[in-house]
Amino acid sequence: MNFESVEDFLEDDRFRKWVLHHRKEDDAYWKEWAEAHPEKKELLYQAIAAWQLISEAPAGWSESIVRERQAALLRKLEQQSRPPSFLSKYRYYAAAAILLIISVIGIEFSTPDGGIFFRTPDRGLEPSADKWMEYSNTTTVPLLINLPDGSSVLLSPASELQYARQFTGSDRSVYLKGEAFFEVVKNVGSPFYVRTSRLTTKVLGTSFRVRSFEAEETASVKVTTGEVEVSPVIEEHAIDQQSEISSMIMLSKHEEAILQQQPGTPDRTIISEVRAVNAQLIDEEMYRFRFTPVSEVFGLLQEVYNVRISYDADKFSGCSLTASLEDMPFLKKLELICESIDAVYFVEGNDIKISGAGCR
Amino acid sequence: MSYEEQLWLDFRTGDPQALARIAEDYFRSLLRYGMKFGMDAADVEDCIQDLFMDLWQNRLRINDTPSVRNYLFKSLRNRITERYRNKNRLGSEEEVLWHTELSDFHNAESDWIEKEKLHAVGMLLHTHIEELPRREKEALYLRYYENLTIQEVAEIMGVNRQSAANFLQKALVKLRRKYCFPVILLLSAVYFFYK
Repeated sequence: MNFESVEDFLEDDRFRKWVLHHRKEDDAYWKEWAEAHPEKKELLYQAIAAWQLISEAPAGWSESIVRERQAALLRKLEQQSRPPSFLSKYRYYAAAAILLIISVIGIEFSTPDGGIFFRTPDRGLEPSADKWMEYSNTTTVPLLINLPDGSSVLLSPASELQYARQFTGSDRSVYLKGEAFFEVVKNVGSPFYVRTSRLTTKVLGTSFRVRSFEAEETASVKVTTGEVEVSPVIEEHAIDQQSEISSMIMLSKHEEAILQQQPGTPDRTIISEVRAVNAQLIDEEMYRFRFTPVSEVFGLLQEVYNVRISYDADKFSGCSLTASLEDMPFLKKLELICESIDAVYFVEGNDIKISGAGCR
Repeated sequence: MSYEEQLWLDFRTGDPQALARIAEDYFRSLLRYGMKFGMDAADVEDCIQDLFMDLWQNRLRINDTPSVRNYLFKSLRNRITERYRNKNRLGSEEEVLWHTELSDFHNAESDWIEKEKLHAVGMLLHTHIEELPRREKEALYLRYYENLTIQEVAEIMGVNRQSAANFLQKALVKLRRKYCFPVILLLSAVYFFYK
């Protein structure tokens, strides 16, 4: 590519990526380029300066202003449209959206095949932000990194973390190679993503409103802030004996949920809450898997959550999981495991079926 | 259908959460763009709010659009210029501003770049960019920061494609011509000084 003018630079993808994100590899590239083309150095500087002048943030611009104003806008929108309270299905892609929808009473599960089919969500996208931060931990102890939104990351040895200095748009994304422990600040309207080459985790800072009037036919859960936790109230004298309610509890880190049985019908057990034994004593290490056979992973989940997971042991015998699944809800764990092994999960009451081609 | 197309359709058929999601996704860009017009954050947010409230009220009458982003940007732009007109009771749009801030140009990450030199180049360029007509500056922002095509820039600014292309062309030519001269002058001056 021949750079003869400032706009040649401005229109160049690589140049643009560099001035936007300042990734190490792009930085090295342009440094080399400048050394190889000393006669163009002046032009390069002009391009950099031009870019900055053209794209510079307006006066009064700051992260807090954006957040503040965005929150104000969403509040007003909410008031104005006053939706028949149902949960924000757009905050999750596919899988979790369907999960929350099940909380609406009235969905039938009368046949064995009547479970809900969960799809695995889309993968992450390219970041786009003004400046780019990169950390590489070459020490032998975890490295603490504080993110621009106040979240903290404990980056393990031999790991790398990348993120935009200013989180843009409606999501906060970090790119990880290796391992890290995240503590994410809740932020309305801004899901926190950790993206790796094989999976994407998503934490939402949304709170809930539950609407459940006796006079109304349907009950609903609307997500707004906080950890996601769904717990239906089952009426003891339900008039409609035909409808079967299947719903799940997503565990929040510091809470212990209890498994419930539907009263009056002993042969019909439903997952109303999922139990994590001694939730507060769960060791963080428990959910860090390294080339762990999925049979072991499923075994652990079964034990901890008191559910039954069935799958073709033969097919999945070659599957192993390298992932960190702590501090996220049970179904989220499932979802990610499935994404890693190219499978889907299928819920029928207390049973979870895993199906996929396997790893042989 | 893409995710965004789905959202647009869902909002038009009555789903407020879809609209909220769109608002969330575009808020930052819209706010930034709006503030470049010289308005403060609260006023811009007001315009954005009106934009989305109207979208919701009129959802049944809104058509499908090939680009949600262009639609929103264009709509916001119209509201901002309208607001200016009402505030200042001015006839022409030319009175609306476009802000070019003076940054310090310094970038901590690329330490191989010579700070002083970049700053000198930047200072010169700044005076020249300041002199550009506001529409040319806006076109530069939409084209290079938002990375839009010339066609999209034209749509948003409410002009035809050729006009948008002209804005860009004029701006770039002026920059090219102007900064060469002073730099040469500067370099010659330095040369003679140190001779």
